[in-house]
Amino acid sequence: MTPSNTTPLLSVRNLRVGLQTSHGQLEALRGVDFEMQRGDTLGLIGESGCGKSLTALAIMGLLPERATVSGSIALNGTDLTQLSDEALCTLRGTRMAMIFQEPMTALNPLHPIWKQIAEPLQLHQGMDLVSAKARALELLERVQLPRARERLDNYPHQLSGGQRQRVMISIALACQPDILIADEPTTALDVTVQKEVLALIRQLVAEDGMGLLLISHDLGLMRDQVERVMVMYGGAVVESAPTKALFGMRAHPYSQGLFAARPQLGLKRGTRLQTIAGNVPEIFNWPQGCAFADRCAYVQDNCRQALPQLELVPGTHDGIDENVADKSRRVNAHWVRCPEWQKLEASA
Amino acid sequence: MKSPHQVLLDVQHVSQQYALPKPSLFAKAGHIQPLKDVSFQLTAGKSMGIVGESGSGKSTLARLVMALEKPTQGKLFFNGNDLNALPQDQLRIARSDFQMVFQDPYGSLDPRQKVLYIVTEPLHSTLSSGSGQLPSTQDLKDRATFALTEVGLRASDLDKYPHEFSGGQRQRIAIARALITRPSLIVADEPVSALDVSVQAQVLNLMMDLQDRFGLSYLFVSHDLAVINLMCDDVIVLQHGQVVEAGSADEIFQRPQHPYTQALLAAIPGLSQ
Amino acid sequence: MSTPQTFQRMTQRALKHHSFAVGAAIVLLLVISAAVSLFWSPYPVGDIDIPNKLAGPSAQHWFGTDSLGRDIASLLLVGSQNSLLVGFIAVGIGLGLGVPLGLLASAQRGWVEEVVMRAADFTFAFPALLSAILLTAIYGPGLVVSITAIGIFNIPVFARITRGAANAVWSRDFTLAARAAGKTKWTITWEHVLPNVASVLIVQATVQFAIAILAEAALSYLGLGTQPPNPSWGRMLNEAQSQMFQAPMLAVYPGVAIALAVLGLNLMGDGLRDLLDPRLSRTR
Repeated sequence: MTPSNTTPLLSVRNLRVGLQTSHGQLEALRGVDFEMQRGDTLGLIGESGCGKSLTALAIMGLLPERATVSGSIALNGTDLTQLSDEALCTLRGTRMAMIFQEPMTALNPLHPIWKQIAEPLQLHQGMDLVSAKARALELLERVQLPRARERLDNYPHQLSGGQRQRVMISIALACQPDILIADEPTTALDVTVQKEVLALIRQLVAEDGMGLLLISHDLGLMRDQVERVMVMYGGAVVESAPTKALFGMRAHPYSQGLFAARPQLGLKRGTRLQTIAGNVPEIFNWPQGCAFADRCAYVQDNCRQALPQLELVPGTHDGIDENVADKSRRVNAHWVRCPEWQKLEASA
Repeated sequence: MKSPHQVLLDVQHVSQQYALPKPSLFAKAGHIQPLKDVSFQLTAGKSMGIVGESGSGKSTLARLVMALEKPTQGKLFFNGNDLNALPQDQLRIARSDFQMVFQDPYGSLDPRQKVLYIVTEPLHSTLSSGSGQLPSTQDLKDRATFALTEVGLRASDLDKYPHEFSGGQRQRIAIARALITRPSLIVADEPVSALDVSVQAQVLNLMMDLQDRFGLSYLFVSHDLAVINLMCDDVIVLQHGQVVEAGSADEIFQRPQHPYTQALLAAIPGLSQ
Repeated sequence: MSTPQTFQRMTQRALKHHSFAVGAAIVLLLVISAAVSLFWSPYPVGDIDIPNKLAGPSAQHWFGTDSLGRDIASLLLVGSQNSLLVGFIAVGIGLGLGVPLGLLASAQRGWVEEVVMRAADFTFAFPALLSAILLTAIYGPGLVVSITAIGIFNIPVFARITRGAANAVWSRDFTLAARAAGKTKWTITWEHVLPNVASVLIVQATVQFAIAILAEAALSYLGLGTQPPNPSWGRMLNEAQSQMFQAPMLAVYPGVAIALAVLGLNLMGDGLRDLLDPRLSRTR
């Protein structure tokens, strides 16, 4: 294996985030590690409270005031955790961009859409109003907004949900960022619109060679959209694998439970879904070691003592193997954070 | 329990229209028509799914079935009674036989009331208890305790407020409330859409168990085809207020005829491989 | 969590909130002064003592005496009764009549809502103070007339704010659930809408209380409010005007009393808004 010599696009090492809650200062992210190159598409999947949105906000530097961050987040080699907010402002919108779940609240209802797209252009690239407006039109056409020229002066409330999301994408892409973070970008949209918007994101990401960090709770979405998936639970990544591999075999008991709990079209009527015992614990009730300990059928004493380390599934390798021709198979590491995983019935 | 094959709900050519606010003082008010000529029948003991996206009229239909609104055209028959022709007191009695579970677990429970009150609310109306007399406090408490244990919660939860529960638990409380009058029909409007995947599975299993135990029928409104397929025997597909396709769930999902149904099936993420 | 425990938790939270704690302390001081003054004041307020007029603060007269030799401390103390009475009754009228109107408008919608809101607009169109003056011109000056005038202008305030808050509550699913349970609009208004708008009303009531105190002070300053010999902070201000050069402090004492009462109520209102709203709007 020849490790790559180029600086990774994004390198997150031992990211820990502490939040101020009514129960005191609690650790909401417990050591997240991953790396992305230009053109990589990475998915973060998990349920409420697992820390996936928090990871995205930490990267963007948009955590609440009293949050504590430790570890490193290196974008093109620059450690974002060491930068002042002003320095981060020059990076946000230009080198890294984010789109959110609710386009209606993410867009300013009082400004016409061309103005909202022109804003980052004027701010970061010093464009004048006329050029910015022209560029806004180009961007709207690129995101395939129907009748873009007529719609330039429209306000957000005059557009449908899918159209608003396209506007948000064009704002994010205005300054051609290196990485796009999409936090549940289609959850609020109808399923037919969802398909179009996701296809659009995939197309634009491929055209520009951007990195894509896609956050969702929808497993099916991950299958279509990203090359690699990380499953999060209780503030930590519990499993990380190429998408195809993960859909073939889950090593972690939580991942197994998550996959098994989905209703699928082929199931017979009245089939009881497989459930994970118990409920997702609140942050102040997280067990000391593995957060899944209280719900796990295979829990041992050592699981509770400390957060288990990530282990590599045999047959997969860490690092990038440049010799493999098929790019999608260069990084095939399958990590799992469970000391007992080999004793499980690995389910497909 | 109803005898099987009896028609429980008969919706006949129902249309709904709303007037829009007038654009100016002397202009004519515009209209929107969320439902156009919708008809279907629901048999006792079976479940029907209503599939639609936003703007399909599915939530309007749910409200009409629950007699929370009157249709501009058409009739709705429940157990043979024309719901909108019943006098108020009779309607109130009839309501004990059909109940509803809403989408938003955070909005469907009054944050200012305790769970005991919330779960027994359908019993509060004197007439709905059937006997003409207000149920006693102990009677209410007993029935509430029973309903809560049916949905997997505890008697000690009666004294708590909604904000002390998670989303999944709140939906269980909402289901307990819907069950308390032992209805024949429960209208469920996107009951699991706001829940996490693992919680969704628990609630769906619960709904299936309750159906087996009490012989319930569900009118299940959802945009999630996999969930509808799991829960429902028959399906109608709504687009822009009209029924574009209707049939058994197996027919609709395995051999969809209408382009819209086909588009919906094609759009499900994760199926392309 | 049973009710006594919740109450304890709430009180603990309330005391930690600075605005609320300070405001409530001031208001409590006000209430205690008024209560105490019902039974005792350093000197009877009617006692005129011309030889000792315009005296500075001393052991016998903590704040000195006014132009007629009356003890200022006593006047302030008994005057607080006045201010509190006006606040309670005026806000009481506003709540008692305004809230039901607002709830009615929200429950009925349609033309009923239109009529109620236009009537409120109509009342708002009249400048409050001038209308109060007009009323006293017709019915003669005095405490009762001024309370009535101030109270009338509280009605549209509460009607409007109740209607707005009630509309928001009606749009939530639990009212739909109550209708599905067969409850009438009025039962739902009483059992569901009112408890959910209560916090908004409480906060507004503290604000209106402060406004009522100011309004009464203004009317009394103009000689249209509480008549002599009943003491009133507003009239004390008026009387102090003529003594501006001999004894400027005479204006300061009642002025500070008014300002302090208004400040205390506003701080308490701010604190209540913070304490009551996030708990209700907190979804997880």
